[in-house]
Amino acid sequence: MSRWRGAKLVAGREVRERVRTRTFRVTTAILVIVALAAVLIPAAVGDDGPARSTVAVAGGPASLPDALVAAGAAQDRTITIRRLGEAEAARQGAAGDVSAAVIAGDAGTVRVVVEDDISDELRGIIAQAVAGARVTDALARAGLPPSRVAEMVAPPDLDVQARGERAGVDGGDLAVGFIVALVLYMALLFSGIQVATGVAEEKATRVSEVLLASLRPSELLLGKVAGIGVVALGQLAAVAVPALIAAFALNSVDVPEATVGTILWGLVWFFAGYALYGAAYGALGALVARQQEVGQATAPLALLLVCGYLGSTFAAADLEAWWVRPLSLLPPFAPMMMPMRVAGDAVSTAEVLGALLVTLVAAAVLIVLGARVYRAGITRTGGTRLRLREALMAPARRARPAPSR
Amino acid sequence: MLEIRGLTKRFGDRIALDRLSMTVPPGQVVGLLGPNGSGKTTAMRIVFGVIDADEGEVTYGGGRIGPEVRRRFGYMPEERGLYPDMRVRDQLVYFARLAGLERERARARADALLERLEIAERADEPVQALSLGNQQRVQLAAALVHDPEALVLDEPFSGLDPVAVAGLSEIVSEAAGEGRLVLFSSHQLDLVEGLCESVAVIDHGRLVMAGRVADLKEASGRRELRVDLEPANGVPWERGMAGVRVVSSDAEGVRLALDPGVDALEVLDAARAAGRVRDFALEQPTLAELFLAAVGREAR
Repeated sequence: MSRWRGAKLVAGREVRERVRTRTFRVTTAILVIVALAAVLIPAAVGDDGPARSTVAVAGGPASLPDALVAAGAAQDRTITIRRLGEAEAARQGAAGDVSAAVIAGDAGTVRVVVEDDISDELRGIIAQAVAGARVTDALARAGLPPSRVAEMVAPPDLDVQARGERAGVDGGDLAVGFIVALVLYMALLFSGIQVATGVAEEKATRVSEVLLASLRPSELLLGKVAGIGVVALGQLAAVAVPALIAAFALNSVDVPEATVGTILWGLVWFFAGYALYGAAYGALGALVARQQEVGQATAPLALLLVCGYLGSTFAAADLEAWWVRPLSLLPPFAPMMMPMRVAGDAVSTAEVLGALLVTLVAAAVLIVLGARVYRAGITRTGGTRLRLREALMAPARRARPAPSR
Repeated sequence: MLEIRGLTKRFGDRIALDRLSMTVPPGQVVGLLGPNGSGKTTAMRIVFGVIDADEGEVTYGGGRIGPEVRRRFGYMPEERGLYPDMRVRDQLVYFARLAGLERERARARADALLERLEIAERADEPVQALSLGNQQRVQLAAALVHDPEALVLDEPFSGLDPVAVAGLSEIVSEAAGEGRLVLFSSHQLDLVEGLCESVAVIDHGRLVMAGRVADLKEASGRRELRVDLEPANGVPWERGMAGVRVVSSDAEGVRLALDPGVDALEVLDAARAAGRVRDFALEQPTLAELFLAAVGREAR
């Protein structure tokens, strides 16, 4: 039997048995609902939509309503105009039926009637619109063609150039990096624990002894890690895809520029990080004598994951800090640190690929070492936990006959 | 033919196996027997390649047991060896496929075995929902599902009631009858006495006795004649015969140990002359008695 067939069978069993459990179905359903709710509820409540105001206008230059709408748009505010007579405008303004009533007198005076108070923003919009309308009117009277006038009074498109330390780093991009790092941290931790628990269960039930008859330890470990990884990835997709579709369909989220790239890199880093941590979790899971000891035995790995996660969180505050780069190149931390640097656009593609390569090589080494520890651990049943060093020193091959005497 | 030669295994300072040698021919049930902690499981795990021996070797058909050969073995570890929450049939199909069977054939084999073991109606239940006896049947099915050439069963009968033992014994004998090599271990010497054709008995990792059960009993030279007599008079007929020693006397009658060469029928004649014989039996020592005698402990 080829190496891959064995690993494939093991992985297939992991997927089938995990997906079949009620716990898995219930958790996934809850996660899907929570993720959808996180998208749908804000959209339904609608507090996230663009700001709206209705303004009553009485008298004034003909271009005043258009100027109000344009000035509002510049402030991300949609202004609806009601053209009314002076008295009606004043009444509606005072009654609060409209946000404000703008009443222009013949002598160029402008009265604004409101119910209680007017926001600085709306006051600014009105002031800008009235000033703009006067200029427009004056220019039109002076004989300038209307198209030329519109061009001159349109708000200029400002090219903002920042020179501060965090120049060019968008808060939204970092938020995406933050979410990706968090999801990676949790996914690696949970699936890692599942690998360790699964291995410990096979050891405790002696299933591993039966399996080792047909499989090499590396096949067993690889299959288990792959199967649980597929389930984790599938669950992640089952949760994320409906939520993302809903978000795009409702157009309710303002999607930051770095999103797609960061998420794709996040996926790549999940593969690399999971290969690394999965092998390590599997190896440590094989050392325990009882399933209850899994948490304790794998605590060092959880610590590394926490460090990577915290590292990425702190890195968000200052991507140029001296420690960010070296830490993001180390395999145990790279899976969580790199997506943040990618999100902040603070790293070259070559560097990411380099770190990825290092992590994958480390994962391959760990699979080999892990299989060795795994075999030594699996065969030591009962009694106490096997020490990592003992497991690594154990003979690598099985059943090589000793020279007979 | 499975050959075990000079197996030695130490765990720290403790010697679990001390130069153990035995052979297991195909077509008969061979028992590796001994009290708890005698090294049986260690030996079984070495045979199966789960652990390595410090010295000695195990060969099958003259060659060393590699992964390919091992896949043609059926193995049942001491207790469990199954996924508790996996369904019975799924489990058997999985093990069969790992051993190299194609999906369809694996399913057919699994169903046939479940039928044969009379647990077909539990096929879709998780293993942990089954009674211990039925779990052990599933284990045996898992060991047999890929139609192995050899069966290595570690304590297949522990914890079972007599009915379950009888059921499993039948299947094990059947497997040997089909030409398979069958090696199993047990600490219950009396329980499996009728099942094995030959045995190897170990104590503290060392071989105490080995061979065909009938030969071992014969060679021990120990025979006991039990006679339940309704005496015609009070004369103690059993005393004074050469080579005959009274072992016990109780409600089942008097039990006499006969030296080699003593004709049991002559002793019985003497009894018949003394009264009416209600019941009698010529009994060979049990394996347990032979074992205790061999390790120098008294049988009773």
